[in-house]
Amino acid sequence: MEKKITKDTVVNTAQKVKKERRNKVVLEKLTSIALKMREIRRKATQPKSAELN
Amino acid sequence: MSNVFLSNQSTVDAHTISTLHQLYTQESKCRLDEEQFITLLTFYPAMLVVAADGEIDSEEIIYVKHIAKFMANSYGESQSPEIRLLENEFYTGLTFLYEQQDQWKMPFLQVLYDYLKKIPLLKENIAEVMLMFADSSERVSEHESQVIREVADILAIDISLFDLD
Repeated sequence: MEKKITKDTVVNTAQKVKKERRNKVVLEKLTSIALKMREIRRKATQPKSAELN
Repeated sequence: MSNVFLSNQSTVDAHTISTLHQLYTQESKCRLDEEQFITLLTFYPAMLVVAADGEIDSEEIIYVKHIAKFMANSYGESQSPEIRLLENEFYTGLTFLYEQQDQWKMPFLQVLYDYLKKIPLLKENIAEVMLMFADSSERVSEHESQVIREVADILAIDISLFDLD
């Protein structure tokens, strides 16, 4: 049976897509923060002699 | 209003990252090495924000999965089987911490506080991530705002530049 597409269905789908897109952007930003934090940690724990080299 | 930080019912006695990692690994059966464990430690405040209202509902579980995912993704190619396994470990680790919050919250925050004294540069990122998670549910709720303030207070993070009202 063919499913009737209502205005609500369209709005819900659009919201879902918007949310998924937003989640993806947030996830990318968070991954970049996590990478940045690992880099800060790595530099902070690096022995001073290694820094000079 | 929940105030989860006023009491410390923890019996976990760990004062360094190594001892906390050791105890946590024994209890949680989580297989994170010490470096990965520090990643979990630094993102623990974000999980506290997600669980700010005292429980994690079906939508918030997605945010917990997000935390596990981006922590794992910072270790390499996101589609590789190793990274997916690591994501599962992080997710298991976070779920354990949520379920055993009374035991692990204060030891985690105490050890993180000490760690941030050595690497204060991380403070801004930790605050930013907490706010991103609070903000992801359209607006920052009263519970989330309270948790952010309390965690920031414990960790000596200046959040005065962030608009929490």
